[in-house]
Amino acid sequence: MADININTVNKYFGDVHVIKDVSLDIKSQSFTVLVGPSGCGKSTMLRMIAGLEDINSGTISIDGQVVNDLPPKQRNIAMVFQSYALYPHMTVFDNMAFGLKLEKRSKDEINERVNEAARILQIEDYLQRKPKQLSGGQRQRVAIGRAITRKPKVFLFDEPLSNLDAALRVQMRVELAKLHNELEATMIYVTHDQTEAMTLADDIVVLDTGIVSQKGSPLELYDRPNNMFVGGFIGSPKMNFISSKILSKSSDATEVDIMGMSKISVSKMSASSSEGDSVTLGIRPEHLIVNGDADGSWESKVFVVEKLGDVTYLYLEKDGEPLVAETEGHSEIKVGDTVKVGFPAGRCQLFDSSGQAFK
Amino acid sequence: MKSVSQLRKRTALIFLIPVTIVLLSSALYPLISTLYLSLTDAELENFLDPNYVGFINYLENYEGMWYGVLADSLFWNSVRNTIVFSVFSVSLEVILGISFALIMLIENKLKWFVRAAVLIPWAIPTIVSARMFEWMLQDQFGIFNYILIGMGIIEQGKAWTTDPQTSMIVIIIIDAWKTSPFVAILVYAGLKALPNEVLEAGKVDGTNGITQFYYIIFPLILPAIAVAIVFRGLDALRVFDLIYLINAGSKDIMSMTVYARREMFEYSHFGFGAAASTMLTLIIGVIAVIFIQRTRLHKLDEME
Repeated sequence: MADININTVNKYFGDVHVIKDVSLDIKSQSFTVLVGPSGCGKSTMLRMIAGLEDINSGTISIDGQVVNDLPPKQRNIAMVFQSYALYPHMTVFDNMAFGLKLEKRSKDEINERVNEAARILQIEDYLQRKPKQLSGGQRQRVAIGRAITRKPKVFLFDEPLSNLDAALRVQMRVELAKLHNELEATMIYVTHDQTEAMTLADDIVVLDTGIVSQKGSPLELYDRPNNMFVGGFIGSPKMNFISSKILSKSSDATEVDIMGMSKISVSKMSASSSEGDSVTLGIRPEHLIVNGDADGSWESKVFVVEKLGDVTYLYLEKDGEPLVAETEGHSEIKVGDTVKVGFPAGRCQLFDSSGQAFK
Repeated sequence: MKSVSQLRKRTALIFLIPVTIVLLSSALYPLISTLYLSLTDAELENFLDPNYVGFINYLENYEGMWYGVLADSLFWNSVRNTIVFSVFSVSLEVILGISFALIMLIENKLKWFVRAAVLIPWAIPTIVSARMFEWMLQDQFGIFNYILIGMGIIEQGKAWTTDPQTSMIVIIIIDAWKTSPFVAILVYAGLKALPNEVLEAGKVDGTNGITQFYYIIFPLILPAIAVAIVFRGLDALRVFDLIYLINAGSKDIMSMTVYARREMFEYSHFGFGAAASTMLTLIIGVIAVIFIQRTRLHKLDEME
C-alpha cells in the first residue's frame, strides 16, 4: 500500500510562486494523471514527490511517512523521464540493474529481476546493447524497465511518451495501462496531452498556474467541469464557449439566450447569479446537433470543413463568435453552406464571469 | 554535365588547397630539412654546404667505441627525464583539473570569482611563473624556506630548484600549477554538457555523491579527460621553456628539447642536434600513436 498525501504544499523558484497551497490525496494503486498546459507546475509537482525538488512549505507523505527531507532513494519511488535519461555508457542490462547494484543485491537476484522486467517489456533481445543502438520506443521500454526492476511502491512518469511518434505513442499508452494492471503499483503520470490523461487515468488532476483546478475521474471532468479552464482543457476539439446573458432564473434552471437568436433553459444553478448577468455557455462540438431539432439553435455559414473519416468538423462563425460542430463522417455539407446548429439543453454548461461552473 | 557529387568533391578539393600549402610549408618542410640536416656533418663553419655523412650522428662505431645520439647517455637521461616529467605532471594535472572543475561547478555567489581565479595561472606567461617560483623557492630569501625554517621543519634554506633530489619535483609542481586550469576548463565543459536528467535518474536509482561520480559522471566525462591527456601529454613531452628557465644546464632535469637545443645552438653541432630532434619527434610520435590507439580516442564518437 502506498497512499500519497500532499498537504498545502508551496514551491517558489526565486520570486515565482509555482505551486500554490496544493493539497492532494492519491490512493494506493491508483493511476493518477497530472495534466495542464506548459508552466502549470505539473512537472514540478512530480519532481517534488520524487525528491528532486525541495518544498518550501507543506508536507508530502508516502505511505503515511513524511518524506519532505528524504532523498529520492529513500522514498521507494522510481521515475521515468521525458528524455528517457538512460545511462549512455551502460548496456540495457546494466541500465536496468544499476539501482539494484547500488542496493547491493545478489547477482542472482539482479539477473532474475532484470530478466523478468525485460520479458514483460519484450526487450530481452537488446539486453547487451547500448541505448544509442535502440529506437525511441525501445529506449522508452528500457526506461520503464529500469523503474520496474526496483519494485518501487510508486512510479512517477514525466511526459514519458512525448518524444515518441504518434503511432508508437498509442501503442505505449496501451502497454502502460496493461502494466499498471499487472504491477498493481501507484502510478503518477504527468502529461500535457489530454488524450493520454483521459485514457490512462483513474483520476485526473488538472493544474492551472500552480493550483488544482479540478480532480476527478476522466468522465467527471468531461461531463461536469468545475470551471471554464477544465472545460476547455479536457476534450478535443475544445469545448465551444459562447457569450450569453441570463434571461431568467427558476428554482432548478437558468434560462439564457444564444446570440440573441434563440433561448435555452439549462438545468444548472448558481446562487450568486442574477438576471441580466453575463455568462458563458459551454458546449462540446460532439454535442451540437447539425441540421436537426434541439432546444435552442442558431444558423451560420460554414468556413472550414475537416473530414476525418469517422466524423466531420464544421468550423462556423457568427458575429465574431467561433463555433466548432461535429457531424457524421460522410456529411454532404460544403464550405459556404448555411447550417442550423442545435443546442441540447442537457449538454450545455454555464460559467459565470469568473469562469466558475453553474452546478 | 557533371553530377552534383562530383562538383561537391571538386569544391572540397579547392577549399583544401590553402591549408595543404600552409601545412606543407610550416610542418613538412622543416621536418624534412631537419631530417636531412641530421644526415650531414653541419656545423657553424660549413652550415650552408654540409657533407652527407649517413647515420653517424645517430650511431657510429669508431675504433671500437660507439658514438652518436643513441650512444650518448646524456640523451637517454634526457629521454628518461622527459618521460618522468610527462607522466607525473600530466597525472597531477588531471587530478587537480578534475577537482577544480568540480569546484567550478558549485553554484553560489562566488562562482565567477572561483572560475576567474582558477584560470589565472594559465594566463601567466611561463617566464613569469618560473621566476616567481624561483624566488619563492630561493635558498636564502625565499618565502618557502622561510616558512619551513619558521615551522622548524628544516634548519637552513635549501636550493630546491638546483638540488638534484628536488629539482624534478619542483618542475612538476610548477607545471601542474600552471596547466591544471587547462585540464579544468576541458573537464568543466564536459561536466556542463552532462544531461541533467541522467544525473537525476541516478539520484532516483540511489546514487550518493561518491557513487554518482564513480558510476555516472566519470565514465561520461572520460572522453573529455582523454582529450585533455593527449593535449597535455604531447605538450609535456615537448617541454622546453620551464626547464630551460629554471635550470638549463642541470642534467637532472634536462629534457629532450633542452638537450637538442644545447647541441645545436650552444655547441653548434647542427647535424648532431638535428639527429636528436629527429629522435625526439619519433619518440613523441610513437607515444602519441600508442596512446591514441589505447584510449581509442580516434573512435570517440563510438565511446558513448
